[in-house]
Amino acid sequence: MNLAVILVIGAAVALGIVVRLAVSYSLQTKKGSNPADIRPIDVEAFRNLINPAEDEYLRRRLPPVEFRMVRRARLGAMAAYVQVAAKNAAVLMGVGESALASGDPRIAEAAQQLVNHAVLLRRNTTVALARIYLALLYPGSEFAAVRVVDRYEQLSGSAMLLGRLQNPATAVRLSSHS
Amino acid sequence: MYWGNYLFYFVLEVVIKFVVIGEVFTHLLRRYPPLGRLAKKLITGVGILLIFAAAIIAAYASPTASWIISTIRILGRSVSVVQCGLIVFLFLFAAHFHLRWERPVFGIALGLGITAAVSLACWSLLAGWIFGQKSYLLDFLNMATYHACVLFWCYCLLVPEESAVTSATLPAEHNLELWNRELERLLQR
Repeated sequence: MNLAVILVIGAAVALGIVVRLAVSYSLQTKKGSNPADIRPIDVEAFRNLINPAEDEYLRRRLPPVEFRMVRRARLGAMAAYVQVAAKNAAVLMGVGESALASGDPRIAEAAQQLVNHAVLLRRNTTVALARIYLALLYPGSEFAAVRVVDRYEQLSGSAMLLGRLQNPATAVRLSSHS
Repeated sequence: MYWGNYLFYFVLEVVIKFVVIGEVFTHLLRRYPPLGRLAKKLITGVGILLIFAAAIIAAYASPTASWIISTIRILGRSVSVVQCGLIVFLFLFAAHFHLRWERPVFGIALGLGITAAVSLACWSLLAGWIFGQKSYLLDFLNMATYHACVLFWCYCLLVPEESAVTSATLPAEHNLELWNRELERLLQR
C-alpha cells in the first residue's frame, strides 16, 4: 500500500515535470531567442578571479580563517560569472539555431560552429558550477575554471563571426571593455 | 492462454517503447555532436540507477495465487519506473542544455512521458491490488490516456509546424575598435 502511494506520487511529480518543461519549451520557442538578453562579461576580470597564482598568493599571505572567507567570496563571484556565461551560451544557442536555416552556406556553417561552442560552454559551465559549489564547502581545495573562460572566448569568436556574416557593417560584443 | 498472450505482447510493447525512447535520444542529440559522449555516459548511469530502483521495487512485491497476473503487474510497474525515469531525464537534459527539439520528436517524447507517468501510477495501484475487483477502471484510465496520446502523436506528425518567430541576427555594436581587437586576438591563435 505504502509503496503504491509513493509510486503514484512519484508518477504525478514526473508528469508535472514533463508537462511543465514541455510548456515552457513551447513558450520559449514561440518567443524566440532575444540577443538583447546577452550580458557582456569582463573576461580579463574573470581570468584574474580564477588565476590559481592569486589563490596561492592569498593562501600564503592570509591567516587560514581569513583566507577561507576571501576564498568563499571569490568562489561566489566566480559562480556568478559562470552563470552569466551559461545564460549567454543559452541565448547564443537559440540565435545559432535560428541562423542554421539560412540559405547562405557560410552563415549556416558559422551558426553550426556557434551552436557547437555554445553547447560545449554549457557543458563546461555545468561541471564548473558543480565544482565551485563543492569548493565552497571545502575552500582550501584546488579549483580551476580556465576551461570556461577559454570556451567563452571561443564562443565569443564564433558569435562575432556569425554577427559579421549576418551584418557585415557592425560588430558584436560579448565581452565588456577591460 | 489469454494471460500468456498478454504477457507476450506486453514484453513486445516494452521492447518497442525502449527502442522508441532510444530513437528519441538519438534524434535529439544528432544535432549536437559535442554532447554525445556526456549524454551517453549520463544515460547509462541513469539507466543503471533506474534498473536498480526497479529491481528493489520488484523485490517488495506481494505475489498472489495467480502467478502470471502478479508477474505482469510487477513487471509493468518495474518497467514503468525505468521508462518514466528515462523520459524525465530526457526532458531535464534537453531543458538544461537548451536543446532544440524537432516537432515530431518533441511530440513523441511528450506523449511517451504522459503515458509512462500514467502507466506507472496505474501499474503501481494494480501491483498493490488496491482496487481489487474494480481494477478494470485503471485499465480504462491507462488505455484512455494512451489513445489520447495517439491522437496527439497524429497531430504532431501530420499538422505542419508553424514558423517560429525568431530574431536570428546578433545585436550590433558600432565598436570598430573592439571588433578589430578581438579579430586580431583570434588571428594570433
